[in-house]
Amino acid sequence: MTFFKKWGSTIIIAAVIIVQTTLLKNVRLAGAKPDFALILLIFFANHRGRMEGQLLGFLSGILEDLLSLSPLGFTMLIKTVAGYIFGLTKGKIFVDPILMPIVLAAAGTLLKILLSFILAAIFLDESMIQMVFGEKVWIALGFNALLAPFIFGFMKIFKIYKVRQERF
Amino acid sequence: MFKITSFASKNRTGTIFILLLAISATLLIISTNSLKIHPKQIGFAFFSVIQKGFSQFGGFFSNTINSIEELRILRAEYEVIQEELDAFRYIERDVIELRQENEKLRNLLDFTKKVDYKHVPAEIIAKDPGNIFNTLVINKGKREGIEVNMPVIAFQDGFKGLVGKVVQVGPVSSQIKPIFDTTCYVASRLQNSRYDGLVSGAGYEKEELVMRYVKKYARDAIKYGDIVITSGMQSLYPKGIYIGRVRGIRAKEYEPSLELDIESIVDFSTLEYVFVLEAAE
Repeated sequence: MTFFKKWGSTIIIAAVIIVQTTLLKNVRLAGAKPDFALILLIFFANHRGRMEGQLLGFLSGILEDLLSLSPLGFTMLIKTVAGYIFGLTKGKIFVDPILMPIVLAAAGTLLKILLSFILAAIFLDESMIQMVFGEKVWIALGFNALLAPFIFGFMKIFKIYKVRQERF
Repeated sequence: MFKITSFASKNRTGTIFILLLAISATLLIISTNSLKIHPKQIGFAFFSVIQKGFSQFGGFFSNTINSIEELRILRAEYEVIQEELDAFRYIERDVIELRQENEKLRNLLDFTKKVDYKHVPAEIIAKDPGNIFNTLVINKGKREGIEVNMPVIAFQDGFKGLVGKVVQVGPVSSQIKPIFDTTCYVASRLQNSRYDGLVSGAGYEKEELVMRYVKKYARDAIKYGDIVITSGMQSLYPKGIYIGRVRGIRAKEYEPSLELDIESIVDFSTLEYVFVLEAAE
């Protein structure tokens, strides 16, 4: 396995997170930021399975926690679970160009909201629980769902990261 | 023992999943308990270098593209300025006289600017990747003398407005918790009526801040548009820094205090440069 095949997904997600926080720091829709890293995580987990999904979720979560005010472990845990769960979909669903990316991204964002709520309720200040269900989070859900077909398509068309053929 | 090893080797994916969850949870517990040696600080120190690099890389390209257009504009401006320069040469003589007069008046009024604190200017290079937490990252860190809990201000429209405080310091960059964050609290005071309160954010940069614990009997003394400043009382923020203007007054019958909606002086959506204040001398 070449270096890029092994670490490509991690490098792509890490680069996307850093670019989003710096060069694209003001890209927003009604104040909400899309979660490019989550959409990519869903894409890779769906194509590579549970093992790669959870490891990728774990690593991208570390990076997000380090660059954010979130406590270390918060996004790590959420993205690890998301990577594992979307890894379960490998070979079990047919990912068409439009509908399934929208459904997967919306489901992924809902899972993130749910896990954020649980973790915020256990570990964080009460005011943060309100933020978890805030307006921005729901706009981001729509934003992610809309962007998902383009990101999935981009990854496939330009073969930035060649995916293995799914087996049914 | 053998059974555990055998189970782990049979269910490799599941075992690793549990292991990753355990690591995440452990780090989350450590992070939220405020240990002195913070694993996040070490990680931030490392990744902040990469983040700054990306910011500078992007800046290089945008500056190159902008400079071509700027060259065309500069040529046109040069000609206009050349004409203006001729006109200004005539005025120069008057300016010298005015300057001397101004200097005399300054001395007469004993107008000396007293600087209470030193500051480190910085540029905002990154923002939080998510929607729940709010972070601003600046391009100055430990190397420039930045320390945790240093207050951060900005100059906008002639006001020095409060931005937030430093919460994490790396070698070349630092994280700021802005005042609109729900966990940021600032001891504050109404500039005219002098009533105290506590300002905190609503979590969104465009949403109004909330000033709580203002005495109910102050209702008649407070007017819309009144300025709110830092009180400096038992606080890391120096006294007299502008926070915002009163935009709403709420008085609940069952509560002994008022709640004021405050429009921040600082427009965070256009904020580019800030000043990190050092401790008052």
